[in-house]
Amino acid sequence: MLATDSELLLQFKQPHLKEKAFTSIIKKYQEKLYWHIRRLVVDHDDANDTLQNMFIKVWRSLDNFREDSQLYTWLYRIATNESLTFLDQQKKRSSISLGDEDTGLSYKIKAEQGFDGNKLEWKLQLAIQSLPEKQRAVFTLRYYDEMPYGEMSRVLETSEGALKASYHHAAKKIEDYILNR
Amino acid sequence: MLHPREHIIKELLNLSPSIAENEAINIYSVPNAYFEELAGKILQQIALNDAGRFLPVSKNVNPYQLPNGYFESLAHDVLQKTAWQNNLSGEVNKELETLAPFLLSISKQMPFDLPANYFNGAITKPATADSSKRPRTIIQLKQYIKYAVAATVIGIMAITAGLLTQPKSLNNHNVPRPVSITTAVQNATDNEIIDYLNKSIPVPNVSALVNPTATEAKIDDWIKGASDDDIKSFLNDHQAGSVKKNKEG
Repeated sequence: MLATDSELLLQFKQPHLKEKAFTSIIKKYQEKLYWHIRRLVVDHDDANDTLQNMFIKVWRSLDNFREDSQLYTWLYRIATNESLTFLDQQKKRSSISLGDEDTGLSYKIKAEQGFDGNKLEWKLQLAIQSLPEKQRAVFTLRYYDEMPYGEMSRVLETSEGALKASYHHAAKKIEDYILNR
Repeated sequence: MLHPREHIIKELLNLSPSIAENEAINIYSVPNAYFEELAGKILQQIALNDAGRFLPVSKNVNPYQLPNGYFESLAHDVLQKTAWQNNLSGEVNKELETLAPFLLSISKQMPFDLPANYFNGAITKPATADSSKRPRTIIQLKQYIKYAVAATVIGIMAITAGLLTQPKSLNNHNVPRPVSITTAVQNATDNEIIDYLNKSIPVPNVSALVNPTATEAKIDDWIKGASDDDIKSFLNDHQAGSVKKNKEG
């Protein structure tokens, strides 16, 4: 049976069990966090780098985790911040707008193996990438991870009301994008 | 030849004549339609046995083991998962029904490709398990190359811009260096200042005012309106200037 988060945190604090506990945490959350990051950064190599950087930060700061929120909420917050930071750095390094139709992240989606612009699931990804970064995070957390607004508020450090408005707006924009293009 | 039954009766008479006198009556009963259903029940049991669903030899022997406290937390764990998922799925879908019903028709399966066995070994513990060492941030080689190229281009542009905007006089020794005006005035002699003023500022022709060839009418016009003090002051200034000039001469 999988250990609970509390048990893993206790193990992590013991030097001889630290690595084992950390490995367990990775295995427990790697897929959820990977896909959350990938939906934001698109490219697998970028997602892999971001995910590893994220877990490195977790390794360094888990001792100071105060457990005032759920472990997975805290992990999601770090993953989201790392992804948004990566996108910000990429935007600064490149003079090309990341939202351009044939450049940036949309270009990366179209370069993905198996891309088919006629299929709805690919159109959905293009529509999601047309959103501003933070709104993109709001939409994917709600739509794919089905995160409650209360938890999302702790992940994104934004009020629930603002998140609801952002998500509602995002859903409308995405629907409009798919139906009218 | 005797019938078998007759043999049995003859044998019983030899053994116990009193028993042989009673008629053989079956006192046991069977359920209704027992014999009509018996064949079907036997065939059903045979079929179950063939499918491997063997009845336990003994209900009291259980070879499986359970973790301690399994059933104490089972209900809570299941409720937590199912209620949370169901409620949220329902809540999220209901929300989308109002906002963007079309999105409900799209599969949530991610179309992105993933390297084989990525989750089975690609992610490992950090390069160093020693907390005293600072773990490296992983940056791809191609990004280093991009930084190096960008830095080189910027450096070349900066040097070129610097060379093009340099003033040419820096290398021309014939161009006089800029001089501080305050210093120059302080160092100038009185004669140099007077010469400069005489050349620069139009000085009224005093000699013309007292030129004996000028008509009295013209002179009267010039000094009309001036007070005696003004005239005396004017004459004194110009007389002082000419005395000084004579002294220096």
